[in-house]
Amino acid sequence: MRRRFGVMTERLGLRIGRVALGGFGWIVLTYLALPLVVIIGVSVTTTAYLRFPPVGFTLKWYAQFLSDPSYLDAISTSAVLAVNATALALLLGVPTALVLARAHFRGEKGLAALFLSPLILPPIVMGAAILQYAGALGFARTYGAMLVGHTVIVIPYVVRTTLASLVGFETSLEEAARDLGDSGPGAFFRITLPIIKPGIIAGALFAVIISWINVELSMFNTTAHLMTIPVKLFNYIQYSVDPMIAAVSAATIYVAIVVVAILDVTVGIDRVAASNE
Amino acid sequence: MTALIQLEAVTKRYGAVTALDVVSLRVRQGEFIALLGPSGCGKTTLLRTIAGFVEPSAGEVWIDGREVTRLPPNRRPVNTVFQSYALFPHYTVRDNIAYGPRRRGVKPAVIRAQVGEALAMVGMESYADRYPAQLSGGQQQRVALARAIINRPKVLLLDEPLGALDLKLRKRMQIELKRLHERLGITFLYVTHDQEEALVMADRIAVMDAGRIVQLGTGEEIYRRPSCRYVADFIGEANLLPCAVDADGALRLEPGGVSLPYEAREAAGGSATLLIRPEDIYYENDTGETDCVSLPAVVHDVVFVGNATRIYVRTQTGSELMLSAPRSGAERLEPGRPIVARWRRSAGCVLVR
Repeated sequence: MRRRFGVMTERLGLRIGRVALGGFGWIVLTYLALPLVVIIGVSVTTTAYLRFPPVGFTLKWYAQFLSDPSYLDAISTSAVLAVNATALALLLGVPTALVLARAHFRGEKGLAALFLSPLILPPIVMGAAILQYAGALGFARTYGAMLVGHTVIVIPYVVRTTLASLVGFETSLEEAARDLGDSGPGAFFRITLPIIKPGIIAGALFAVIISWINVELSMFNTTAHLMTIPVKLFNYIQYSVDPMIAAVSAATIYVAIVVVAILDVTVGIDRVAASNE
Repeated sequence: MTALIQLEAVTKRYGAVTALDVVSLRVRQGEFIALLGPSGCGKTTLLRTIAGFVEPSAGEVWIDGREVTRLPPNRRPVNTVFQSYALFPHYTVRDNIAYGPRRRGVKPAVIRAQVGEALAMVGMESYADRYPAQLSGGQQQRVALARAIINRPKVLLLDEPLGALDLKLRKRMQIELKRLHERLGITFLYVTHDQEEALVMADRIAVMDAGRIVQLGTGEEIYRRPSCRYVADFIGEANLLPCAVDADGALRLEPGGVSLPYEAREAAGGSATLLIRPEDIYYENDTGETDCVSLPAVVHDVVFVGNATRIYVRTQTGSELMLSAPRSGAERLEPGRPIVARWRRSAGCVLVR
């Protein structure tokens, strides 16, 4: 009787634990998601000031910024920058990861650390450094300077995820392809690349997002005509705060959500999380 | 007759380590050669040198009358079955097997027929649309084999292909591989550390040690007339009796100095080893045979190993011998019993290296 009671309390304890864990999960989730909900909520308010919960429902704030060419310019600058910086990061980062994963040489660890270092350096420092550097070379505050800066900050994501996907890769697969008559590049594109593709895609999507939301680095390199959307927002709220700013913010959130959704459909979030350790 | 594979003084160094030490080898068309040795003896490096994954530091590799020493793997008329199988995980069995013909630009209709034929040859017809991850180890092994032989290479290189399989399956695959070899007429070069595997399948065995081929011969030759102690010890079970060699070349058993009817003139005044296989030693008192060597001994251990009994004896002069006897008859022997260990003189083999 007593033993049975013990089993029952144990089960009860387990159940309480599970409920508590679930509850805690939801609290964290709410904590993380609430700001987004507030932003999106505010973006549809009919009032002329920020108000949450929103009063009524309107899309006029979206219409307002979408009809302002300077916002559209900023959005397209950001998008083009994110895509190009990611493309460059892939071109540089994937071969880097291949070398780091396969070649063994003196200073290998140091080189790996160098390629991952932008992760730990504050972007604001990088922004100042890029400005100085580009200034000395005569291309300060240009699209080129911005592209270089963004490539540098997104490269670690590409290198990191590609490296992770190469950990379990058997080089004998490439050898088998060569053995069966394939050229070196053929073996890479037919065998190696498809197998490590999930890691590369994950890195690329992280890179796009990191570039898309960057304020600090971009800020140092903007002009009135060259401005990314996060910097534009940052400038705007220094002078006025109205629901349009929420609409613009919400729009950048939608883009990030779409990117993550693509990630989940093409590779699967689980795999990305796993390949990221 | 010219050799299909010809290795001329091939040497491979990795820094201070010599993986291949002046290896020369000639393999005839259609032969089944086993490269046998413990791990680290250079057998896989030798295979990879022929496949084109390792460029020798010195020496030449010739295949089918052409020097291929510096040719990349994709331009050599050889195919490899890898130890890990190396099947492409993102391709189906069919696409894995079709990989080689596709690279050579064979017409799709022809490829379809060839893949079907290759699948049939390894008994995997019903698995064409599976992915490697959905196959067992033995099935993956067959696919790897089919993927290589579809190209009809001049030489098929096999790197311990059965190493990951369980004993039963391994034995079955040994026979299948041998049959396949006979049917295809392709030259097989087979790396293994398992002497039994080499003995079962190979026409000739190259025993390797420390980057060299220490002996090349048929299984029988290598078992009966090993070139040195290393080979004698590596292949099968062996009694290796240390002997002193007199100035005139006559052998004396050490310790004890019992005179033996063998001679080793090339080691006169030095030492040699006498090899006797356990199954060549009898312990019946008198078999009536002449020209025998006999040593009085005492049984100190009898071990039952399934199909035979191993009898460990110690001679009066203190040498240890192992005898292998068929199961019946050995029951009478118990530790402490005196016997006479006896073998035909011709069964012994003198090793000076």
